[in-house]
Amino acid sequence: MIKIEWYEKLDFDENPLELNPMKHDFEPAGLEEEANELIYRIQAGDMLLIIGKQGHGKTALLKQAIKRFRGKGKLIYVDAKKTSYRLDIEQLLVKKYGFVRGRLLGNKPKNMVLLLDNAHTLSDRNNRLIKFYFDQNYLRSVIFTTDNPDEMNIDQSIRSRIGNRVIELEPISLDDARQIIKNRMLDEFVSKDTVEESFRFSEGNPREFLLNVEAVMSSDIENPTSDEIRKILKKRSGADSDDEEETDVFICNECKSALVKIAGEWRCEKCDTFCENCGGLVDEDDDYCPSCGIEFLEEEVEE
Amino acid sequence: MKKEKPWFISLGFKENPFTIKPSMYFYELFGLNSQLDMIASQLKLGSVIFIESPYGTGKTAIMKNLIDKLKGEEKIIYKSLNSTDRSLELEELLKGRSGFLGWLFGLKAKSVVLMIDEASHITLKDIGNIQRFRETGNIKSVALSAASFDECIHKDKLKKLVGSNIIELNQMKKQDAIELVRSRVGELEIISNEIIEKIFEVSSNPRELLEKAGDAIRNAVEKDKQEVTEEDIPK
Repeated sequence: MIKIEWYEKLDFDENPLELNPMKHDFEPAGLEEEANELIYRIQAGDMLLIIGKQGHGKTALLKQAIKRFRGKGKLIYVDAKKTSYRLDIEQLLVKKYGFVRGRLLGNKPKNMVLLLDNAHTLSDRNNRLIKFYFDQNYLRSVIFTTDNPDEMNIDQSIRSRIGNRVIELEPISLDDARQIIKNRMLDEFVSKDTVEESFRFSEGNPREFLLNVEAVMSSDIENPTSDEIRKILKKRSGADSDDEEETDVFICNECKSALVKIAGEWRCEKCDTFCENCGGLVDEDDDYCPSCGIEFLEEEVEE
Repeated sequence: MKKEKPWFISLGFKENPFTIKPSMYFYELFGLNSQLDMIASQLKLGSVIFIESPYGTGKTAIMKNLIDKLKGEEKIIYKSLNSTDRSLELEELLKGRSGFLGWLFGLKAKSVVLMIDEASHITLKDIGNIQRFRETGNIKSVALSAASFDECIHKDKLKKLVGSNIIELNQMKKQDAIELVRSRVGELEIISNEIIEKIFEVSSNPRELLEKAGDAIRNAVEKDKQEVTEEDIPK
């Protein structure tokens, strides 16, 4: 029997929660400023470094540049993590434009834009070639992405050219998460609870958020309750998610103070109204917590 | 996504006038002309010189200018250890520079001025070959450049070759900074000489200066201002 995907049941041909930005054209959320900066740097002919943890949107951001500049034959996108052959920048240019070592055939490949995704392990040779081609303007602009700038094998001479042109990707907010669902045409189908719980379990990581939503949407339970949603998500993240060492600090998007973790949920003590027992969001006039059932006495509700 | 034009387009430029690519502005030099002359005459006389200067201060530009200066009178071989595999293949280079008959007979050129950019990783073998070919008269003089002599992999062997001829490029002065920016944007009113001086106070490195000046004008234009003020200068 052919399995019907959850999204097919909703009349989608393709998975609207597709993770790989190269496989879809949905707008990311919370990246508008960064996208504008990236596009400007390419126009200005600069080098740029994008720093972000896995799943925070580095590739999605590059995709914005691809959307803007594609069709003119000037873009080269390389996922340095996935290239099965040893990456060689010169070979790349040869392939792209018949650019032969030292000499150029006909079309000079000037003004190319090189997008180097996951550029951790750039070889010595590639370092040198990038610098040379950039200086000669064969490469108009070079964009590097990484999740760990300290471990990148990048020449000092290239770091000097990057200078302060660095974009750091931050965790997304709940509003961003909601926007992602809207952008993917899913707001009719994904419940408010699903969005909120999925966001809570994601710690602001867009990829985790999408995977959480997908775990809920593809479960056998139709219209799951908050409890059931949490169960699905706890199972997804593994039982020891509460034991994880928290090395990250998350900040409230509204008041910029540090979030606190209550029973596994991130809350802002100033802006959120939440239950101290389970961390679930509550309304100000709730008598008891809809998530864990604990009764609220007047002074216990955090505002 | 905003589809606004970048600031330099709205100000009438075709490209970013503050590009840090040396090739886009003919390898201009600011404040380095006297050193350029000095190095050129030393190369004509047969010295080995090591040009040391931090990133963004003009090493590539000075090399290119030296080539232009010496081109007519000297046989020059220029190699950037960036654009090739690290080995120089000096013998092949010399043969290639000896003209058609020379090539035919496998002869090597004589009295060549050898210029090596990004020389920090020059191999022991190449240092040895340079020495050898100097003794045989195939190489007359050598200019090597890198960000730091001490960081050269084989600096001990290099020291024997270079001796005390390690030259640090002059630091840019305030007037040079103004000249540099004006050479890029002319008398553009949005940025005053005072502001250029302020930027220079924070960043006297030419590359950093260009970057900050570009960003400062960008900030002013994006805020619809007529003039760059101090707050537009990035930290």
